[in-house]
Amino acid sequence: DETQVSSYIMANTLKPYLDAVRSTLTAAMCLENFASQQVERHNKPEVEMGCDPELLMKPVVIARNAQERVLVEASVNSLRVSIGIKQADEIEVILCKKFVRFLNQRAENFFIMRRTPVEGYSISFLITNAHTESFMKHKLVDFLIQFMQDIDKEISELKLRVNARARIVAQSFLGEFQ
Amino acid sequence: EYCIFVPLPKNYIAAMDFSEMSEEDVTRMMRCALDERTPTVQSALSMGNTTDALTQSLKKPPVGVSCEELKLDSARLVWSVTNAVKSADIDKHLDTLDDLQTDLLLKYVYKGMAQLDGENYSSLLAWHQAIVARTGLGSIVRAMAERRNVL
Repeated sequence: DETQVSSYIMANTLKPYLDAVRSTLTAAMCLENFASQQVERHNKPEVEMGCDPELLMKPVVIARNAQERVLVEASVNSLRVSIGIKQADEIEVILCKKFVRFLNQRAENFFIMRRTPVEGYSISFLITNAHTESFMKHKLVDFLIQFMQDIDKEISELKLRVNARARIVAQSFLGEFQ
Repeated sequence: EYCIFVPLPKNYIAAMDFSEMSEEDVTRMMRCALDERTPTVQSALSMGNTTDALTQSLKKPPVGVSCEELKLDSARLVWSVTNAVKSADIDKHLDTLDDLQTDLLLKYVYKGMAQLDGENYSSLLAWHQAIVARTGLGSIVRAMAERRNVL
């Protein structure tokens, strides 16, 4: 009964969670070109450099629970979004790690994906002013929200497939001994 | 280059100038202010007067202080009030706050979600939704961009 209530509450927090992420991202995605103050003729994403405090905004977290959270770090010319993915048990931890590694190796195809996640999160995205100039901001936000929903679905689907395969293998193997 | 000066209201947070006082004095002053309002808030809460408790807890926020503990204690006071309010009553409580207090409350909401050991994320999300519905994205931008912040 308690798990039913808690799963009802969890289902109830999905929409406010995604809405909060959407509004925070829309507010933070206000980026403009800004040449590096440290090195002449260079243009670096200031959120990654992190040396000039006047160019950085305060990092902000939107959390649904201790595991599922989004860290939004904004600066004058770049925005870093880190997503913590729900990993309920051991097998989901492994699946998530492998899946994210698969995505990270193909980060160029995603344009905005970061090759390594920020400490404490599962996957990170780096959006710069160049991206907001060539892509539509509301579409970028849509993509991130859709990504958050799809990755949860993918991991549960992968887990179901792993369990199904394991069951078939176990049946055929242990069937030999009957 | 154009500079537009808008006269700030007297109680605006940024207008409070602590540059003459030392860091420890500011911290001590903020700690005193927090100790003053803690019993007021707690008594209002125990009487069930959550609207009063909320306005009281949002007074004299510890801005421009680097003492993490003080900021956390001040935030915990606010969270004790926000957790006590039912989601149906959130709008009523927001009606009693003015613009600056609503902004400040959103900053405390973000601070609450950053904690790893909290349980009341659903209540914080409900407050976030209600506040942004009123103030729009400007409030979020101010929460992230203001230099002297409770975050």
